[in-house]
Amino acid sequence: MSSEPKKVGRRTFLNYAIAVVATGVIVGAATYFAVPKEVTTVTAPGTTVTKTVTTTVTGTPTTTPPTTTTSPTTTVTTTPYEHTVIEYWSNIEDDVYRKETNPKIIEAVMQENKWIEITYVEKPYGEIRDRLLTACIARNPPHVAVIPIANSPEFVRYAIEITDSIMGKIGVSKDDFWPAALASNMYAGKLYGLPVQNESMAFLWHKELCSKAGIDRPPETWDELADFAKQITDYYHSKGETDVYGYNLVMKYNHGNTMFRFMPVVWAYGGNIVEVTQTGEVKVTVNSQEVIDAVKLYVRMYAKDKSVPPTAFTDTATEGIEYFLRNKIAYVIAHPSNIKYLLNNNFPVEKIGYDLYPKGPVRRASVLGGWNLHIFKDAIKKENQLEAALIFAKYFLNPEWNALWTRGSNPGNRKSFETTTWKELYNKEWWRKAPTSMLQYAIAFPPIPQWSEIGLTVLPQMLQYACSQEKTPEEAVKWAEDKIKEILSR
Amino acid sequence: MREGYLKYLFVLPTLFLLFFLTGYPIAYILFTTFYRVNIYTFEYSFVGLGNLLFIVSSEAFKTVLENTLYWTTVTTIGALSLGLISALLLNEEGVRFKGIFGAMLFLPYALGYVEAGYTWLWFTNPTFGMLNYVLKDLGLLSKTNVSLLGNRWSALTIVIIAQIWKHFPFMTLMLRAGLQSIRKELYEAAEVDGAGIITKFLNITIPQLKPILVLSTLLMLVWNFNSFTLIWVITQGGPFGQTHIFSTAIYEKAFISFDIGKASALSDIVFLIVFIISIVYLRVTKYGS
Repeated sequence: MSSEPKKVGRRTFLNYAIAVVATGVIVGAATYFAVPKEVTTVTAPGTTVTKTVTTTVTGTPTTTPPTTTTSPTTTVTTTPYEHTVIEYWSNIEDDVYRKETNPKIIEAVMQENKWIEITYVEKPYGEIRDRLLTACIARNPPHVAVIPIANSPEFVRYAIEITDSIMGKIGVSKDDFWPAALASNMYAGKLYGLPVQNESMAFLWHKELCSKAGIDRPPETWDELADFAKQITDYYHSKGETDVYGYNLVMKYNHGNTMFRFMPVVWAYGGNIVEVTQTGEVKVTVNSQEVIDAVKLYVRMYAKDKSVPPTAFTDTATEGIEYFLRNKIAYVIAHPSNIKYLLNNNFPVEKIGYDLYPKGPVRRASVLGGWNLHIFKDAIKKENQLEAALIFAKYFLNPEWNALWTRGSNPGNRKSFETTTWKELYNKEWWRKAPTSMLQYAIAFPPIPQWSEIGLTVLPQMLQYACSQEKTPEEAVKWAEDKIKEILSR
Repeated sequence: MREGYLKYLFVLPTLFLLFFLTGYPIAYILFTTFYRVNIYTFEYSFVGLGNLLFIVSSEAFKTVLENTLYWTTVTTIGALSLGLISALLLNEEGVRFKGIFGAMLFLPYALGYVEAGYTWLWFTNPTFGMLNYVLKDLGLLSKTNVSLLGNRWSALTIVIIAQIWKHFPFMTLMLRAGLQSIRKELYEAAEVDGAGIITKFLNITIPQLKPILVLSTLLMLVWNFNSFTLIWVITQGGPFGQTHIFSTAIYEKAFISFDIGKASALSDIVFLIVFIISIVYLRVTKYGS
């Protein structure tokens, strides 16, 4: 027997090649026809959802007030759809209430709508925008995402339009939401998302650290804050406690905390970064004396007074709260859930002051924060997927569920304020008053898709340039102006 | 000539995978280099060499190029030197607990990049970290509350030290294997001729290690040039973009600014540099053999 391998001639080779190609074509064709064709129910931005969904979804919540241990019961007529999987992205890890309520909402939706299966995907707060945008560009977004309000303008063009008809199916109306919160979901006069949670932060101050340094009240103005921060830092540093500072300055690159803390100062001084005119034109207004003054306040605290931690370029609010918890910092712009965190860590309540933000020469201001819900059109390929996404949104914005999910701050659906859950919480937890009072001063970020990039990259770099004294405040602001114009021109 | 076609058929799946996993992305990057991509409407506007010219003429490009050269050179030389020293020490006869030392040296290499990055981030924190206190005790800092990540050169120094710390165990492993393959007779013959430690090192150890030294150095060069995670976790290219190297700058352009055209232009430049390094590598190692 010969061990020589069998030789293959040209004809045999061609036969093999044809067989491979033919198999490929057959498999490809089989796959193509086996996969159900998409029923496009959503068209490009600026147009409306045209397909009429005939399913009845009642979803009336009971009036039984829920507590933190029980869930609202929702009766939904089961729709005879095939098994439908909905992918939902958000960030719940940073908020104890969201972490507790999120699985319960999902469970309730799946329990009461057996044909729906929801796959939840957690995204880190600092990365949710980058990952979602990458998914949208790759045309592979999740069906539903609940994302920070600052990121929404960038995603409206990927989301389905929320028409009055869709609002009706979700069981809400425009009057249920803060106008500024709705505006963060608007593009060309149309709505592409709904507010789930809205909030303003408030000013956290360490009563004990302040009183030892001779201060017994929160600062009235931003300039006074800089004075007090210096007084506190000087006092403790002179006693050898060189790790105690006045204010938690945040300038981290590619982190939402930076813009949430800098923009209130800009607005308080009467400036703005960009402005959108009524005709939709975007004006770059960063290069103004008001913004320069706001930058100078940061430079004063970081470079001249050195009254803030030297790690301000890499610090976030999370570090600020940790410093506060360890009695290392006197002032922090803090989210209401941070107070809960302090109390859960046995921080003495008598040391906590939680008040309104300082004022500027023009006004008192804070950022209207929160979370918006979007349904992404590239993920909605079939009618049942849209139906499932709307049912999920209905639960999310149901006043009872909404009150539970947003206990860390304030509900997006204003009807949730009337729920027993919310009333009980508001009366029981003293620290809810300051952030709720700040809502009247809250301003929404400019509703332009480029805002995320401007806020996440340009503002931190502008502040870092100025605070490191690599550039003067005037040069840093001019640099930001050029950079923003370049971004807007793309 | 009629035989042997079957082997080409067997190669087809690999070619197919190579085309889709390597060829297609490269072609797409080359294509988008010449276009401005609107990520909202997916429209492509032809801009010619506009993206490349914008990148090359920008101040940031000069910084990125400087940083990449500095980073790649220092981290490679650092890891090589430290790896060689520790390999020589571990190879010495009479050293006890070699196994324990070897395992300890290997720890940084075994640690994940993100974990290592966060370790260094906390280590350098002026309030909670211990590095500033050590530096102050050594007289290298006048006070502890200094942010080493707040300045371009101190931040670059920190990430370079972290990278060397992470990679030198690999060099130790490679070089120790090389050292163990050198015949003892060579050293014994040199000792008979009266050669000292330095003479033996320069005339026996280094020449005998040369193949493995060249290979490891080239590997390390490419790894360091392309590395991303550690520098991204520790500085994110900051302060104000002053510690970006090519890989982090491309990521920033592509996945934070979502400026696909300019990210592609920057990728082309990196592709060209890596291509040249690869040719040098193939020549030096006689086409990989």
